[in-house]
This record gives sequence, structure tokens and C-alpha cells, in this order.
Amino acid sequence: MGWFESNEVLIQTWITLTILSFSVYVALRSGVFSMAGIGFSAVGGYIAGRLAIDGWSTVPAILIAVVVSVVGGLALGLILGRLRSLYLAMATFAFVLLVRFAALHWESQTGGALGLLGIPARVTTFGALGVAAVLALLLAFYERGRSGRMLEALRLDEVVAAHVGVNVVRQRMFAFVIGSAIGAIAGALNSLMFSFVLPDSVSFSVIVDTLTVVVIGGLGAWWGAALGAAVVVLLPDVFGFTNEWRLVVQGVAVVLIVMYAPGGLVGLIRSAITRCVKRERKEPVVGAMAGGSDSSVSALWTTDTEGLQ
Amino acid sequence: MLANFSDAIVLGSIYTLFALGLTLSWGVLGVLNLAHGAIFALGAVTAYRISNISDLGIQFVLPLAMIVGGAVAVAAEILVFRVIRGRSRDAELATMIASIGVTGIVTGVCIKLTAGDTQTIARATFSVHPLGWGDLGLTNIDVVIVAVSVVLSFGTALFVGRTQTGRALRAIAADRYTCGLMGIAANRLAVLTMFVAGAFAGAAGVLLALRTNSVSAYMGDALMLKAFAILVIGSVGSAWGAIAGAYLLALVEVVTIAYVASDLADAATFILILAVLVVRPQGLLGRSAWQRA
Repeated sequence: MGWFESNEVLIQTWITLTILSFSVYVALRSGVFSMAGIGFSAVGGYIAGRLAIDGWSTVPAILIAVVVSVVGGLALGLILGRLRSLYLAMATFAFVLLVRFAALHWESQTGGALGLLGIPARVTTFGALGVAAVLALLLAFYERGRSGRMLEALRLDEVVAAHVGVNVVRQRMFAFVIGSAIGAIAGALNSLMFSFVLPDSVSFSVIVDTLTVVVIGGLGAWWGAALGAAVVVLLPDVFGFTNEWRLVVQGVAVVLIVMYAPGGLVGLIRSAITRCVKRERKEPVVGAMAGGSDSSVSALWTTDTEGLQ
Repeated sequence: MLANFSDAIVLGSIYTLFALGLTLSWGVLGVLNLAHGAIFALGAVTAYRISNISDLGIQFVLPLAMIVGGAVAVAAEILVFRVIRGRSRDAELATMIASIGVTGIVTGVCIKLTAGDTQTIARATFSVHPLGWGDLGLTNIDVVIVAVSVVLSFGTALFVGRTQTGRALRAIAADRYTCGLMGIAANRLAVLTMFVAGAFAGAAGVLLALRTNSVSAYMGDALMLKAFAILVIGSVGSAWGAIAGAYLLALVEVVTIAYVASDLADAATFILILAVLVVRPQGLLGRSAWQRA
């Protein structure tokens, strides 16, 4: 347990980064390139922080932060509804930076560049971990079975998805709003765990870091975000001596993964498992039987190389 | 008032050089190269390093920085973007994310070359001094900036609009796959486009560094969102649109700083982006909004 105590901050950072990445992952998985969750993490963080300072207790504070972000997400989603891919991405970038701008300049509410300090630290590491686990469970259910297949259809080809009965507009909105809400949860947990919120909690670097996490982890499953976040959080530590080269190393990692392993760690792990399972199989006695088992294994991992294609 | 106007012209000239490369690479190649800002900084950093080790004047330093910028952009295209494009038709997002990786690499190198600090380009390269033209507050570098920008940008816009190669570029933007059937060497033109984009970004970097007397590895960060605003206003892929959008944005910023409040200039950029994307997504010069919706 000693390692956990001495590295508690690292673990806390990992947890909030994972949840923040969940917000982007949920949207990306549905083909909605929205970084709005990051903007709402600031909104959620400041609201929860402000309420906590004013004496509100933890759960109501977080709930209010989430409700406000859901409403905001709905509004933003309606405004940006018709945009696609790169244009949506840049519009949400602009939104995130607008939030940062508001955080810097709306000094009466946000404390300006110094941020909100002295927020009572009500959320424990285990509490945050619990929240993350619940979110992960919900995501796991969402991406399996029927809804999972619908997500894939939506992401790969909207026109076809519409033709097989997927309500494209509603699902995109849903992904957008859920992403915003999860972002708010991440931000609220952040401010209530670390006791402060800064305008720097949202910036282009945070966007880059979150995208890096999702790229490294892969879009195939929710645990990609968790793995990716672990890598990004631990990387500076492991490569402590190459701190000045951290940007370069991270950049090279992102480029290599996008080029050669677009499914990220999830994709790599899944194809490794599939290959191991295949290798264990003995020579097929009846060809048809072996063929049948093969396809049932690969059906479990339908998204092993999808990722960012 | 006139001083504000001349400020806007100078600022707009820098924005033009920066945005022109981005609009061409996005419109023609479908590459939203987020590393564009890093290449901009690299141009300035290159000029800084050259000025440290030699007495070359700006007439040599500027082209050298442009070549470095262009070369890095071409390297990104050949080593990274082209590979991703070859894999699938829907490579836009993957390319953009890969360009984020390239940004990290280039910025990391810039940090190394500037020792993590803000530096300045030596006087030997170009000594900036004010021209006493009435109240305009112009310096000699301002004239150079406007001159270089106008020549390069108008030249590019005319090239794209009036020459055979320009027509080929526009054809690639419309339908890249059919171009192969028509005998257009898309890959070679892609390299040309990226070289021009990188070279212009590098030039803008050097010129801004001379104007503000500072070189920083992060100088490109603030410009990326402005460039996006310019592209959205002026229609992605349109050279004239980039020029018009650049001067327009510069004017809006200068006016906001002078007459409204100095810190609101940035907010104006964000709001402008959102407003244009919602109201007229095809931009001022675009003909159809089908790509956005």
C-alpha cells in the first residue's frame, strides 16, 4: 500500500483524466467529434467549487454542476447540430477556449487567473475511483450488444445507419450531451478533490492531452481511456530524465499509433488475444467446426482495428 | 484612427501568410494541419539561430527560414499524412490527430533550440526603426511585412485561380480520386501545396518575430484559432477568401482593442467562429454548405 500512498496525487490525476477522456470517448465512439466535455469540465469544476465554498455538500454540488452542463450541452448541441467532423471539432475547440476566456475574465465568479482556491476537499480518492468505476460500468453496457452495434453503425456511416432505423439526430445529440455531462463530472471531482480550479484546467494543452489519451488507448472499448490516461500520467514519471523531450516523445507516440496501430492499446491487446487463442487451437478435425469457433471468437472483438480510420 | 487602420493592415498581412497555407492544405488535401502553428514558430526559431551564428541579412534569413518551414511540412506530408490517406477514405480526423503529434515534435524541438526561453533575432539581420510617417507609428519592418505578404499572397491567389497547376489543385480539392484518371499527379501537387504552406508559415513567423522583437517556441499557439476563424469566414480552400478573412479579422481585432476593451479581442475570435459556422457555414465566398452538414 506504500506505493499508493506516496503516489496518491498521481492516482487522483489518473482518475480525473480517465473520466475526462471518457467524455471525449463517448462522443468519438458515436462519430461525434466533440471536445465540448472539456469545456464543461471547467464549467462543472467552477460551479461545484463555488457551491462547496458556499457551504453546499458534495453530492448536491456535483449534481447541480452536472445539470447545468446537461442543459448547456443541449443548447450547444442544438446550435452546432449540423456541423460534422473537422468543423464540429474546431467549433468545440472554440467553445473550450471561450470557456477558458470566461474563466479568466469573469473575475467576480471565477477568481480570474488565480482561480478558485480553498475549495473544501470533500472527495476522497476512493470516492472518485468509485464514480469512475460506475461510469465505466455504464459505458461498458452502452457499448455492448444492441446499443454498441448502433454506435458502430452511426460512427461508420450515418446514411446507412439512418436507413436501418437509427435515429441519427437524436443519437448524436445524446452522445454530445452525455459527453458534456461526463466532462462536468470530471471537472467537479477535480475541483473537490484537489481544492482548486484554474483557468489552466482547460486549455489547448488539455485538449491535446485528452486526445492523446484516447488515441493511445484506442476507441474500441472504455478501458482504452483508462489505459491511455495511465500511460500519459505515468510517462513523465517514467521518462523523468527526458522531461524536455516529453513533448517530442508524446508526439512521436501519437503519430506512430495513428499510423500503425489506429485501434490503440485496445486494438493491439485484442488482436494479440485473438492471435493467442488461434495459436492454441489444434489442427482442425472437422473444418466446419473450427471455422465456426473462429468466427465466434472474432465476433467478440469486432472493433479491434476500428479506432480512428 | 488611421494608425489603427495601418495596424490592421500589418497584422492582416501576417495573418494572411499564416492562413493562406492552412486553407490550401485543408481545402486541397483535406489536411487540417494543426502543426502549422508549430512550423510558424520554427521559422522564427530558425531565423533566431541563424542570426546567432552569422551576420546574414534578412534577405537571406527569410528565404532560409521559409525553406526550413516548407521542408518540415513536406516531411510531415510524405512520412505521415500520405500514409494515413492511403489507408482509408475517411482519413481527415486521423490526419488531424496525427498533426497534433507532429505539433508536439516540432514544438519540442523549438523549445530545445530556444532553451525554453523567449529570445530575439539579432539586429544584424534586420534593424528595426520607426519611419516618421506622421502619426501612423509605422516601422520599416511593417513595410517589409506588407510588401512580402501582398506579393506572396496575391501571387498565390492568382496562381491558383489562373494557371493550369492552380486548376489542377482545385480539381484535387473537388475529387482527388478522379484526378488520377485525368492525369493529375496528386501526390506531387500535394507536396508542392504543403511546401508552400510551410514556407509561408515560416515567413510569417520570422516577420512577426522581427516586428515584436521576440521569438518563442509557443508563438504559434495563439494563431491557430485565429487562422481557423479566417478560414471559416473566407471559405476553406479559397485563397482570396483567406486574404479577405485575414484582413477582416485583423480589423475586427484592432477595432475591438482600440474601442471596446483590450482583452475582448480574443473572445471576438471565438464568437466569430461559432457565429459564422452556424449562420453561414460556407463562408463569405463559398458556394455550398454541403461539406459542413
